[in-house]
Amino acid sequence: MPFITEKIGVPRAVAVEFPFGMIWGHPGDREMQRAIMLHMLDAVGTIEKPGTIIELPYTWPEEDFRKRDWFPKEPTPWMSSQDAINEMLDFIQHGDPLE
Amino acid sequence: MAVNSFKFMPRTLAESMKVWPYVDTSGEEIPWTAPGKPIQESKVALVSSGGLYRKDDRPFDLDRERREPLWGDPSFREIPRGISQQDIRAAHLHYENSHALEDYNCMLPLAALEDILAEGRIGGISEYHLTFMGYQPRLGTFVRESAPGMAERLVEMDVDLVLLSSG
Repeated sequence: MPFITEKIGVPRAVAVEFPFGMIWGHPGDREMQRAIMLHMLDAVGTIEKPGTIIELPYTWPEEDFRKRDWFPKEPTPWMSSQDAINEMLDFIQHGDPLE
Repeated sequence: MAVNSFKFMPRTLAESMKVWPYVDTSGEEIPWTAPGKPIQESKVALVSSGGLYRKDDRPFDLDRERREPLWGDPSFREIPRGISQQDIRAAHLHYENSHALEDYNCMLPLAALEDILAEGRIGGISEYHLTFMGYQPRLGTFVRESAPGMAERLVEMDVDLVLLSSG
């Protein structure tokens, strides 16, 4: 998520547009895992400016995007009731992240 | 940015992420540590926020998160180099765990790391890799205890280079 990476000032990063739970690619896709890792190692050697984010060109296949199979089957607790959502909204507006 | 950070999120989550109370680092210089040695000579460890743990270890506490939805287990776990797929478990309520349970390398790519060592592109692999559960709305304990604890373990294992992976 380069949006957050940029916001919090990560020294060096590589960004890839893959879903949660398969951030290194599909299960069994060792070649993709290897390719992403080589990009990361390359970034360590080449990035000279703090805060640089290198975006990788890989995309999630459209037919797999339609599966939406990265969403957890169990509802996320903070989204599971209106009370929990309200508690989260209150935290977002007034909370201290370092609490 | 060409990479869309919100592509795989439901709308409620995406909107909350856009206005999230991130720790404000805007007035600070971005930290920077240059590599201590050439990458080909470096001992590498992975750190993942994907909530993976060894089957004989303590799971991340999801029951407490179910009771207190703004709490996330801030502790971390160690995953030994070469761990087999059947010895891996996942405890994370914010992504579908079944893909990692089919092949944990799509969250913690230890096999690719071994390939890269065999090719001579890195100097070594840490005997343990570290994992935590990345849902941490209130970061206090994680920042004050877990992160320094992980850094200490990595130093103890003489790791030169750490690759951090999101969940």
